[in-house]
Amino acid sequence: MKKAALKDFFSKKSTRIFLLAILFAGLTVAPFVTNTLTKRIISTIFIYSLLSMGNMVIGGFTGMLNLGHAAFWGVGAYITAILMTGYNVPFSAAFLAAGIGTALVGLVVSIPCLRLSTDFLSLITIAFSYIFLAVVRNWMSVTKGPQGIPGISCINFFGVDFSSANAVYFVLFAVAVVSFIVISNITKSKFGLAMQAVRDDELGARSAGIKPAQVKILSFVIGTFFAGLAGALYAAYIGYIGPNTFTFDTSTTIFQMCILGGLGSIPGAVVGTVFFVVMPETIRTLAVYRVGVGGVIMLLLMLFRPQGIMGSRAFATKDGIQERIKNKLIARKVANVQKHV
Amino acid sequence: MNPDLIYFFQTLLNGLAVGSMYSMIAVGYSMVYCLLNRVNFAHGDLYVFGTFISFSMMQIFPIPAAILFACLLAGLIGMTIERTVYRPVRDAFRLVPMISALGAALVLRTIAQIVWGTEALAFPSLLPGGYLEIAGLKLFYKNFVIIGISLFIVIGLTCFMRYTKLGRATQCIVESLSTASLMGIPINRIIPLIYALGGFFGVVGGVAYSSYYGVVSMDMGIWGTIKAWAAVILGGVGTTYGAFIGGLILGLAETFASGYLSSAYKEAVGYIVIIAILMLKPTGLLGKKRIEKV
Repeated sequence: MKKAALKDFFSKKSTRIFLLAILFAGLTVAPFVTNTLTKRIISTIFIYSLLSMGNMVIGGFTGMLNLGHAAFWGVGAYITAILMTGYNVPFSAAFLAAGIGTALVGLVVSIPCLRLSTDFLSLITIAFSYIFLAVVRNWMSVTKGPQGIPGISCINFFGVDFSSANAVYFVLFAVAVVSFIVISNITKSKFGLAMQAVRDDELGARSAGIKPAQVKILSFVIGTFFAGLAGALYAAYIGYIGPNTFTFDTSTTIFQMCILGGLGSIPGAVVGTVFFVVMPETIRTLAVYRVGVGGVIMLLLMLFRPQGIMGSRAFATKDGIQERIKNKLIARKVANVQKHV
Repeated sequence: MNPDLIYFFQTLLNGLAVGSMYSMIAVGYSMVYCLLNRVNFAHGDLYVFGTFISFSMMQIFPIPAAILFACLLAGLIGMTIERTVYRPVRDAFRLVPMISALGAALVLRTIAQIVWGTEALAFPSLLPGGYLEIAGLKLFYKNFVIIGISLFIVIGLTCFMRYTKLGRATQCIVESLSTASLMGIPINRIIPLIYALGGFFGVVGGVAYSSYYGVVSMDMGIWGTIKAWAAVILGGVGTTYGAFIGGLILGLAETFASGYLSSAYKEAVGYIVIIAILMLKPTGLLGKKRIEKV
């Protein structure tokens, strides 16, 4: 009874709006009351949540395993850095250029899914992440190779400098909130339903008049667009970029955020991001094993609860271990009742 | 002989050897892949793990025993991975087994990093070092040994799949899992066995690769998965010799790219060749067309 009441409480819309308002108010007040480290962690969460939400559109809604998201992030960051340091382009223009340029790269990478199965696209994304690193490390004249590009000026929209830590915090906050609203509206729209239809049953979707290849390419472009924006923000926020940030390990971390939060849920992406940004900060001694910890989390989640914390039912298994235990408990209850009768 | 021509033949020979090593890793992968049509992310890390084990065993035991032991152990690990990571989620959504396999790969990688460290280790060269010179062309013995081993494995596995009862049962499972189990084929015994074979031959390829380049490192893991996967898809899913030919093409493309263009971009060129071939022929070079039924 108590559990049902609790569930009722959380499923009410008014409760949800109330909780969201508290969260919003807390994040607005946070920079004035906390220290620099906390502010930095929350800012990192904002940037990473852009990445994980983009990857959620690709992986959780369209069902494509994208293991090169960090490389797209890197494309956005390098476009911004090169435009700002080499050509003195203002940040607002570089920001848009990063988004659109990365989306174009995403378009080129996803074109093979016109003819090939979805699984093949994950091979291409892994290959892309390695090719990206090879190009960045060897094209000395443009990307300055392994030493990276320093001295990127701070975030600046239309001549207004956001150089203080609090101002940067609020810019990142605003971009994250706007992106969240845009992405969740995309996933609730007709196109979002088409994406989920393609994920669940490609043939069925096709017979309902949806073009799977188009949907896949478009969702890939949307996801990589937000990765590009995140890249621009990251480059201007940190002020320096190097190839070692945008490795395959970062891509798997981004994907793990989506899995933990729950595939097929945009708020889930944010929840997963919070966990994977805060975890390495709190257990620094385990930082060496971060990859392994992420792997164990992936394994256990897939075996026991593939839909993650708040993911879509489409990922839940019918005969997973969790369901089996549940069935056994139900069977025991039925047997008990029969005994009493 | 014309020096350009010598250079060409030298590159060709090297490319064939590199391709043979890829195909040795890819052959095992191909068998696992075609069984359930699920991408096996753990394969790359498994074969590197096995190569590391053989490296450690060589300090204690004679070399052939060490390699055999490592191969068998990798087969055992492959079976364990199948039992713990794949079987519980076999009927789940398509992405779920892929993700759990990636998790297993990351766990294997972390264990290897804890035991052997993150740096690349120098692997002893087990292949004969000399060469035969014909008209200015240097024919290295090690290239021929590697090509020979991989040919032997491919022919052996093809015969195994065609002429033994076990191989035919495997082909039945490839055709349809549920029908095979209805016909009384013990699928839960054959599938782990195929995973074990995949791990076994993966380590053979891994040892050959490591002793050819004289280095073993954990970075080869995910890279090996990609190479094997690319070779399998290129050659066509479902045949062992398809994976062999795919591996050869991949190796040749990379070696010619590094010989005539730049070694920094050899991998990129390899992938561009694969994507170009697949765009023209999506089933791979020797693959059969799979018609999706409702």
